[in-house]
Amino acid sequence: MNWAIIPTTQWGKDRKWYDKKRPKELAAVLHNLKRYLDLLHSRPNSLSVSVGFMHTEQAGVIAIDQSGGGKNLQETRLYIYADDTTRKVYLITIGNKQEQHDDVQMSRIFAEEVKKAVEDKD
Amino acid sequence: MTAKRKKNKSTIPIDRPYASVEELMLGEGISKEVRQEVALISQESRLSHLLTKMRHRADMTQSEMAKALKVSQGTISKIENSLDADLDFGIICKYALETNQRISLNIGKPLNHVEAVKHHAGAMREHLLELAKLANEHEDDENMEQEIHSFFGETLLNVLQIVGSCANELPRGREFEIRMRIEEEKKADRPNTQELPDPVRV
Repeated sequence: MNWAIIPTTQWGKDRKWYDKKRPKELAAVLHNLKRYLDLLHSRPNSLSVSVGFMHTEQAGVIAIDQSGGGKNLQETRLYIYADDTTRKVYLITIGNKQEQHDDVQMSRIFAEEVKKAVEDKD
Repeated sequence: MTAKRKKNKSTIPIDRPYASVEELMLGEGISKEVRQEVALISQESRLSHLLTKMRHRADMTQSEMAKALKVSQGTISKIENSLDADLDFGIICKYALETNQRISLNIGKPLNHVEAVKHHAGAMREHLLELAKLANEHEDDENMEQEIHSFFGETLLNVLQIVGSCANELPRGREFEIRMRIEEEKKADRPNTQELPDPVRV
């Protein structure tokens, strides 16, 4: 079964903001998301992917950064959660360094909710 | 100065699954500018991404690759995140050796479709001739000769199937011709070309 990308409401708002104000940063994180997914398709699970542009946060949340997208880009993180059971990659939010703390907290809560929903279904 | 923006404290999944980032960008209305930029970065970092994939296929972590190449983990991260134009040729060779995999490089203007098909056909011809040579050199080895003969038959069938199935994708109502030439080796070692009277119509 292939992995599916699932956007969320906050990601939708963030991507609109970044598209308008920081298009290069948005392109950089989307490019890295593309690379991450390509690796994910060939691996048994999300934990076996390790690349320089991804950072592991709490509750299995992964932050994908803008590296490789060019010089002088603002530090940007795309927060995702890859659920191995349902093979879904949730796009949680996009933020900068200043927003990192709040973004990580929100992403953690989201990932825990997804995990709980999957467990309850089982 | 970064513009301040309001963010929610929670987020809800949207029931719009996408199979790829390209689909996501189109489906979610991401601007053409961003889509083009993603395509450009992807094009300019194909080789570095290939190196990352090779390392994963070999089940190696960045630290293990760093150890094997006698560099720091940071260097590996930098290599795999760099643009192809900034890659060192020696590094590419080392990745191929350490992962026991092969890299084929085509540098410069990409082949168009017709050129690519001809290129692959030429390569196939070269390899088949080498196999024929091998069969001749090992005429006493019946097994090998038989296997090579079978492989020739299999290849012919596969090529016909590939061309046939792709031909089904052509606009209907048209035919294309296959003109076959049979070359006979004469005693004088000069090929004599005998053309079939009627072309086969598909």
